[in-house]
Amino acid sequence: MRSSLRNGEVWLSLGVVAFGVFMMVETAQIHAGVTYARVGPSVFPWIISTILVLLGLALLRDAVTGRWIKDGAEEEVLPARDITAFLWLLCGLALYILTIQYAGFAIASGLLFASVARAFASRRILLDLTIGLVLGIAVYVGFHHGLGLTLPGGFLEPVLG
Amino acid sequence: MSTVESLLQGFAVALTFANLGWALLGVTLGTAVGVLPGIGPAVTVALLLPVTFNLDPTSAFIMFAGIYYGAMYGGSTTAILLNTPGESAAMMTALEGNRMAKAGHGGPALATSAIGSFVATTIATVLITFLAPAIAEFALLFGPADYFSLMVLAFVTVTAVLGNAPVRGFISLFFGMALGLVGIDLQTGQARFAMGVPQLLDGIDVVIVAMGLFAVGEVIYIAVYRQGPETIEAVKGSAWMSRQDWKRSWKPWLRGTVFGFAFGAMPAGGGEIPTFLSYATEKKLSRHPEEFGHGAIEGVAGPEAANNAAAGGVLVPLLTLGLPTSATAAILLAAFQQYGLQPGPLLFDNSPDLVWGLIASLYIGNVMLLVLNLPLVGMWVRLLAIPRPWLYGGILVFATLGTYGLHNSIVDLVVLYAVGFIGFLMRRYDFPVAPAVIGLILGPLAEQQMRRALAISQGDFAIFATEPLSLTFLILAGLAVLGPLVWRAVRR
Repeated sequence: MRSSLRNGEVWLSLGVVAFGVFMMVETAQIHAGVTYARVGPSVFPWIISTILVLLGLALLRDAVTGRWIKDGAEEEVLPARDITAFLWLLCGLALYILTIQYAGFAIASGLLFASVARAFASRRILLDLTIGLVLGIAVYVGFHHGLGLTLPGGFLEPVLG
Repeated sequence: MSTVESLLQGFAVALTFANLGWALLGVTLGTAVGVLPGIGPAVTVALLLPVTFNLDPTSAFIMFAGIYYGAMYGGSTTAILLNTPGESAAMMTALEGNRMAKAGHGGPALATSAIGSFVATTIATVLITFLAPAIAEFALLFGPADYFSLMVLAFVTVTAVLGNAPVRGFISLFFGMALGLVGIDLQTGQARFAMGVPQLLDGIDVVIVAMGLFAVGEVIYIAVYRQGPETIEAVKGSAWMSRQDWKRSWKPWLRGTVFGFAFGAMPAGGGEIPTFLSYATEKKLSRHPEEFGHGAIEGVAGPEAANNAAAGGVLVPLLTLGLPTSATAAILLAAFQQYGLQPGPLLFDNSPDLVWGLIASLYIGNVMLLVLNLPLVGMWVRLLAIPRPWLYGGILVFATLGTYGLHNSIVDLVVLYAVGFIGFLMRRYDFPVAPAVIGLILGPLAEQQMRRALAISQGDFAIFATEPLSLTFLILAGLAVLGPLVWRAVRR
């Protein structure tokens, strides 16, 4: 448990460093205007990306030396990771992106709702789907017709307007 | 116009039928999201930002303020009955309050927390009324360099002073500032960090980041590390406080208020430190220190007052200086920007109806909240019985609605999921999330002030050290970073 946590911390620190370096690369590509040569649009990004890299290295040091764990007031004992739940969430979010434009907001929301419920170990898939769809329709009517938010009607457009 | 006259003017605005309705809607929504685990005021206000675009700003802010205050009240109910503090500031309330509920004193625990919140919020609102105009007056003297250094100070206090992990706090802050850089640079029109994606040229909307970090990240975390079923304590015993309870509560309320408001207004932000301080103080002063840890009413009364007073105090730097020091305050600042308003000294001159209507509505909303949370607390307890799969399903439906509703863009959804996954990692590895939201909102403003200052000094960074106010803020910021380190070294 402890060693796997430390692995996670090391990877995370490296991720922060990589993010900072990526920002530096992107910053170097910003076109600095001529007139603003000294306080142009890349000054602030340089400062932020440099500090991010330094912070990432500090985090890496804490992770490798084990200070990270010591500094945390008390190590929370987490229950075992539930990968299935994560996959169900991922599936729900992916379905949402795939369906929202064609099937419409209400249907996409219903599918997302049921997938999340499944991730939380609900076994009543039909009931979840129904509640999700009803919620989706209610939100669509409320926010689209009531509050004027633009949302795609999709397949239900003829019924819901 | 004197402060009292302005306030009366504000009441004239807030007491209209429509605005009373917005206040009631706000406090009701706020209490509901405060009670429900997994969703809080920051997400709620963010969700409502796009749909309130056409609303009169004064009415919108009256509602937002109701949500902000209401969530504080609702959060303590959950902390006491469920022992799951919705936010770190409610940790102390959960500690003693849940023990009280288990011992059959749930009623008095809820009562001392609601009445204590009322007392603290009322005092805090009075202090806002009289302090805010004075600070706004003072802030008129600030130049760009002073503002920049003040923001640096705020960045440091909200990240380094709070919590025991300054490195993680700063990473969160700079991650937020990095996201804030994405898009067209307003001064030169150059694209930054858009990576050729046209949808990113407008920048990353704060709504998406708030939804990602607070809703999506939180739901992933709770799903992946799901705990066993929670037990909701039934409200047993008299819902009213006995004479003894009152006697033991009123001093902690007042002391908690002092701690809370001071830290909230300073602007050190966050409710954690004042609630811890209040808890420790009450434990030391109590005639029954042995009861602490087994359900001492002082341990609920003090921290709960501190928590609410801190929430009120945060509004002072927000309204007078445009400095948000909590996640919800950052979203409120985004709301101001949506209406083309800039909180700060000029807001008091340019939009007196809004500022004073908002302040007056805080008094009104607070009275509504006392009624909603004391006699009607049973109604909110029922919200806790919503099955978790449906609660979190609903939260994600609303989070995606808030994001997709912005521009009907798939790119926004991808950003939401990515930020949500990062939020999950932050939660998992104990990074504070609020600094990221503050950095996102305040980062671009800090950059603007920095470049203004450097334009005045023709590129000379020394301007931040030669302006006396600016230098003072920077020295304070340095002390805030180095102070705890030195203190730790000395103690070793």
